[in-house]
Amino acid sequence: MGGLLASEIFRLRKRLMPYVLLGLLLAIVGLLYLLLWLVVQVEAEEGTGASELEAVISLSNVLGDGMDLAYSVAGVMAIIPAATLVSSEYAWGTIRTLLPRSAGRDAFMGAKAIVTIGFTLAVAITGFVGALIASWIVSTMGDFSRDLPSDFAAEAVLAILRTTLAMLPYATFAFMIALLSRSTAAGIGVGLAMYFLDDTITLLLGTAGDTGETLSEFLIDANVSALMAANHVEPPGDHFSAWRGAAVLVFYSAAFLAVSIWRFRTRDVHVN
Amino acid sequence: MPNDAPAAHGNARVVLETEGLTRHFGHIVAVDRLDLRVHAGEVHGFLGPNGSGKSTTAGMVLGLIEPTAGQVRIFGQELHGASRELRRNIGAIVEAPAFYPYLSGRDNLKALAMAWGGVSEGRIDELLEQVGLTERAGSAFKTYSMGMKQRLGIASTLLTDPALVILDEPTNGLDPAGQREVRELIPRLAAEGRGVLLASHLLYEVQQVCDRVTIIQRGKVLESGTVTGLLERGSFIEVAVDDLTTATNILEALSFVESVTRENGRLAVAAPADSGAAINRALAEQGIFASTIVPHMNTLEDVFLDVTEHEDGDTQRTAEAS
Ligand SMILES: Nc1ncnc2c1ncn2[C@@H]1O[C@H](COP(=O)(O)OP(=O)(O)OP(=O)(O)O)[C@@H](O)[C@H]1O
Ligand SMILES: [Mg+2]
Repeated sequence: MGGLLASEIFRLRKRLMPYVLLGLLLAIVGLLYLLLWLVVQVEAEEGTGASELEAVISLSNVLGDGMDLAYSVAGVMAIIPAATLVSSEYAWGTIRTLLPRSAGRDAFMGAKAIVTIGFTLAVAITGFVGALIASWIVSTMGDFSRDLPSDFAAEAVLAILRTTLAMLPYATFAFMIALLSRSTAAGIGVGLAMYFLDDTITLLLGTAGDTGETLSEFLIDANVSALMAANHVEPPGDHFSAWRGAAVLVFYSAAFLAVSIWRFRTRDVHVN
Repeated sequence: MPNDAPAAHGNARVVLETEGLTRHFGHIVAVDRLDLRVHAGEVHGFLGPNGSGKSTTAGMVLGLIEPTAGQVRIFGQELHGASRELRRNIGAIVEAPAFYPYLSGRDNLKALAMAWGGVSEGRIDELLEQVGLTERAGSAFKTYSMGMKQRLGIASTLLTDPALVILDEPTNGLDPAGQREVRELIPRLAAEGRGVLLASHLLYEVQQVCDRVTIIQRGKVLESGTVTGLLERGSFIEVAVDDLTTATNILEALSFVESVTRENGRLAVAAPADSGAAINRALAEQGIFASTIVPHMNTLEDVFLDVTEHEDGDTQRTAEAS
């Protein structure tokens, strides 16, 4: 599989899309911080006192609120390449060129799965860097709290890993849909729909009695919330443990990848 | 059997063998109990009308398409469970050459070499040179002309130095010089000991470069044999004489004559192409003097059209025409 993986990374690096997506992520995170900073300025002029928003965008909250903010955009950047990774091979027909002389079907999908996980990590790191720079700038401009804990580096690594894991079920879901449908549009479309509608569904289920609430706790969104809450110094809301959230998210991601690999084992690759 | 392989091929290693290979797509039987054998050192033409199952067969040989029934053996091994080394020993383009559009020609070959492994340093440049792409090797694949894409396809086929090469319409879109280059390249591949399976609709090309051909229609083998054998079979010697009846009787008595028929006041004698002199002598000995003795050789196109039209293959042809 090493060869296939090297080839995947080589091809991704030569593609424009990943750079555009990561650049876009940086820009959007920066823009969001800028907008919130403007709101804080308006509030200050009106003399409503130190706002909650100030805390949100301050450097000292970059791992908590900052990563939440980055996550809200970053998922999109993880979903798109995950879907195209598989379906582009079908669209270009390159799958029939690449596959026969390669290490085999499991290795082929395995390499793509690893790249999907790797790129999701890259998205989380970029989101963190964006939030760090933007929050430092606005905090300096607005003289907000810039205190960072002494173990900031270790906490940052953890926050990045948590954010990666939070995006991974959506990315692998898009990956699976793209494989099953052999369509980039379907992979991205269904993947994004899931990403954006999941919290609404979770919310609705939560109001539908005990069964609904129990059910909602097994949806991706509730577990993302539980996991991401651990990035905060004072976790917002009441969540079940981050460990449980992490376990459920790992389970989902592994299941989506397993279904993809299993389906691809026996599927014809048409030549026409 | 007149179509037996010449001795040179008879002993050569079988690089590809299919046995009862079958593939259904719903109601369509794309490939129907196909037996095919390609030897090392031979160019094997794989002919058939559009939709006759050539590409589907290639897809099954490459492990892309699962057969409904039957077997594929590569280098004597069952394809299922064949080692990676064996699978890497097949180079193929099926249908149009497919590459990453945003990568250059050279990077495409690089990406494939990485994925496949075992490609020696310098092999890529050597192949680019061989197919005449060196100058444009740095341009993105999507900017290539059809012929350049085809050339890159041929280069990728040879990347792993395979012992079995499968080419599907390799000269499609090539300019006359390019077509000739490929026509000259193919026998060279075979001379190096590779087996080549060449699917093509250009029958004069096939006739020039192939040692053997298999003609299929609707997934079934109609004919298989050496090119010379196939060409000879339908050929005849045209004889013009005054007394047709006597001449017919004389010729029918000859051992090497298969049949004699009348056509437009002349005789069509089914006999080996080189038997003109013998025919002349036999007639002269009986006092009959022929004004014309002309051998008529079939072309592969004649044989192909004859064979495929006989086999009530009208569905396919009508479908194509409409
Ligand atoms: N994925 C598929 N689904 C349904 N039918 C298919 C599929 N692939 C091929 N077929 C059918 O199988 C038959 C054989 O097709 P194939 O492409 O193998 O023919 P071919 O000999 O390569 O034709 P051509 O000379 O036009 O390239 C055709 O009737 C085709 O419609
Ligand atoms: Mg075809």
